[in-house]
Amino acid sequence: MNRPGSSGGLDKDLPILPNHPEQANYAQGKITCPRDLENFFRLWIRGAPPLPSAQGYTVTFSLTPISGAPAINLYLSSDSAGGTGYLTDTNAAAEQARTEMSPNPEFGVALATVNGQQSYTLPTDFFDYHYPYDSRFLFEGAGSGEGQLILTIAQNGNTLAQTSVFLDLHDIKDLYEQAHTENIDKSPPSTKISTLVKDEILPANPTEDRQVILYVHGLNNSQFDYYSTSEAMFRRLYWQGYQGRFAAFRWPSPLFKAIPTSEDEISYLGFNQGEYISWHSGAALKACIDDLRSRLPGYTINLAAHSLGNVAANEAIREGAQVDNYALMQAAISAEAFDGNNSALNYSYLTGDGLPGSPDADALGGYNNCATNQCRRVNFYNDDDWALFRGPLQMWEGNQHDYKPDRFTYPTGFQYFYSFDGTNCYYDEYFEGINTTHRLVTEDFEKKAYVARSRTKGIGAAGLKHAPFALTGGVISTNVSLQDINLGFVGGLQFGNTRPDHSGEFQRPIQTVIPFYFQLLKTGFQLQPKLTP
Amino acid sequence: MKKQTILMLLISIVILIWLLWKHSNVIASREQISISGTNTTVAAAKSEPLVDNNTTNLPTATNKIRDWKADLQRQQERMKQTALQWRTPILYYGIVLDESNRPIEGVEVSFNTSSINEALTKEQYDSGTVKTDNRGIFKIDGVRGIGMVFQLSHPDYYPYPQDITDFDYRDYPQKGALPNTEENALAFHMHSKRHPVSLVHRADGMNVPLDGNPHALDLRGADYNQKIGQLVVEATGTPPPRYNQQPFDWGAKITVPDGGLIEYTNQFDFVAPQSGYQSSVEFSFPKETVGWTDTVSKNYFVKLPSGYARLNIYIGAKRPLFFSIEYDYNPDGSQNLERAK
Repeated sequence: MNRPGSSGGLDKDLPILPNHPEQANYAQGKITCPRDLENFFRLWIRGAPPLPSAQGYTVTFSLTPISGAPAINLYLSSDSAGGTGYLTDTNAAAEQARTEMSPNPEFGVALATVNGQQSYTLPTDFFDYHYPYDSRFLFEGAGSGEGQLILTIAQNGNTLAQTSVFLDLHDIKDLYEQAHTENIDKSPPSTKISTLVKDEILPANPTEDRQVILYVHGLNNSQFDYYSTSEAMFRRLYWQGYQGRFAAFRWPSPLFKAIPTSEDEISYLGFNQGEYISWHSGAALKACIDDLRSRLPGYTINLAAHSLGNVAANEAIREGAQVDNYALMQAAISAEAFDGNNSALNYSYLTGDGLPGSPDADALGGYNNCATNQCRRVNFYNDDDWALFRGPLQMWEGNQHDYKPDRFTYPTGFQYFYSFDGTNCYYDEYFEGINTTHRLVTEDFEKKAYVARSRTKGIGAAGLKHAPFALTGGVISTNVSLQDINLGFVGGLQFGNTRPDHSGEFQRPIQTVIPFYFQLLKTGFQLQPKLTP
Repeated sequence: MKKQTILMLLISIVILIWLLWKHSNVIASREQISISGTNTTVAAAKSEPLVDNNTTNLPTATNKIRDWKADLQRQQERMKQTALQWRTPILYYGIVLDESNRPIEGVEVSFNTSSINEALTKEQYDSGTVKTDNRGIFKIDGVRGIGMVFQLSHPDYYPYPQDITDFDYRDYPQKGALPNTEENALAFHMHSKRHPVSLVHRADGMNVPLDGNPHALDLRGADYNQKIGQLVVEATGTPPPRYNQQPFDWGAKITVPDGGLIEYTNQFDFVAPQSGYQSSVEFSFPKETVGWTDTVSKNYFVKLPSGYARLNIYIGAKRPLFFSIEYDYNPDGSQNLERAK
């Protein structure tokens, strides 16, 4: 059941959602946009003879609660064959979401809400006027609980036939596991070790597939974004046929703000702080994976991390987390962390003359081969990714170039500098040109986040389109381009160069990310997907 | 003009407030570090050096002096120059040819630039569409950016997956001469469509025990209950309990009962051959194999008792073996397997 706000905020970068985040989609009584359709299920009436109104037939839907307050909103399916095109095809979805009546019925407007107090009898002329759409419906959850949905066919008040189906409707948050990390300092130096807090744990379920997909979000994710992206992924995996357990891990990712006003916010030049927090979150993520392993013995653990969440993911693996399959989604972490001996990955923009000294070897605090622990890794990359390459100031790449080692001068006369002398890293502060603080940097996370410069592209943008023209090998098993026509990423299904494309897995409506989730299951986790583009 | 001035003034004030806030935060943070480490009080003036000679990890001042105003100027100039790259005028020429190198007229080229607004304060995307002329040439002009991505489309042609449909100034001169004249126009290829028809398209798969025994997967027609053929898979291998990148012995044999397979490598091959099918294909990867892999993805035409299919097989060698397929089937029984999309 689509809970209030569970998808409303996702399209903050896309002007396609008219609904308000605080308002439940189901309360609106209409399909507000094609993306809503991933919350809809199919309901068919099969085997019923023609029921002409002139002969006094009536057809009624009623819902008898067994527990809670179950409710559904009922819609006509725009596909007279009752297919799944509303999930896979943009044209079919647009037709299903249409709220104007011309020439066909307004499929996007609910016929009725059916709950314990309210049944729905199809209008007497329904079958006369709605052929051929009169036996295929969609419904969305509109109230939690278990109940019996009953279809009654009557003639002149006498019941002729009755059939039913049992529904068990839940808030989507009851259907997946949630955990978050605590005990993290937001800025260096810190000796704290992050700890795990389990927010929602599901009981053992012998009927589910023995698989776990654990999702880790990226930078600039609020609590709301965490729920939104987690639930979008969960729904999309479900529609692809995934029947295992889904879990989502939250780390205290700071939010980008033009003018930060709290420790949870960073400026657009504060990327390194986000990386620092992500490194620190690795310990809690490891605890999360350890917990899944101990509670779910025999399960395959699949990890899917987006953007800067990959720093936490690789740190968890580095600390010993046992992951079977790991999908890196537009990962904001150096390619050399995985394939440090491959000089073809070296990028002259980041290795060129004139750049300040910066550690490269893992032992000195650099990225080279720092994430080589055994695990099957599949890299989903986009050569034109906005956050890693295409965005203004070159985003991740620009940050590596200009702020690794990190340094900044404020018009007030305050300056800070990180530096590297070939062996050690240092932190210095100046005020009006006079050194006020000099500190040896001893923490590996601080060195990596603030001093180490990647000599390669971010792995999530390291493809064959832009120099250096090389794919990441080493401990990367497979590279999947999000622009590969052969894999279905063609036309509007291809990931592009805009900001929403960086989070296209969640930002886009389901109809335009079918190839991604297909490949995520098939290539990423070697599980059989169902919905083809 | 007045509006712009007021706006700039407001922006300047906001930036100043932020910088002051940020500055005070950093200082405060530094003081906290000092306090927790030395048990001193917060009496130190903000510009006063914080000294602790007992621990090398705690803030310690040196006698270094920097020209901070020059630093600031260099920093601002660098940021401005970097931002200005996103305002580079784009002039781009391309030429679209078919599989026989003949120009294609009327190819729609849609583009989306990576750019920034004139005030250098906000990203922007200039998008548009141009068409190729009767020489197959298209030109993108009058937009700014550091580069762009674009897509080619024509109702009668397929794009080539190998074509790199984007442009970025940062790739030059490594990629050669800038394509900013007709002579330097970059060439793209499209492949003509033949006879696309409506086909049954399905994805399916199974986990195959590594026991060497045959395990069947049904292929299905337009109606899911209609079985149009079978693939039989026999798999063996000794994968480790947990993935570790070390090669191991594995193999798989795929058989089509009452039919056969024939591999194709040209993605534009849509017509199944009449003959040349073999009843089975076999993959064998002893751990000593040069170029050993634990995944295989291959394309085949398949002859079935009731017609033909165009099949992709993906195999992941693990325990059990992951066997996944996608296929197109022509319910007419025809050899034409070009799917209308």
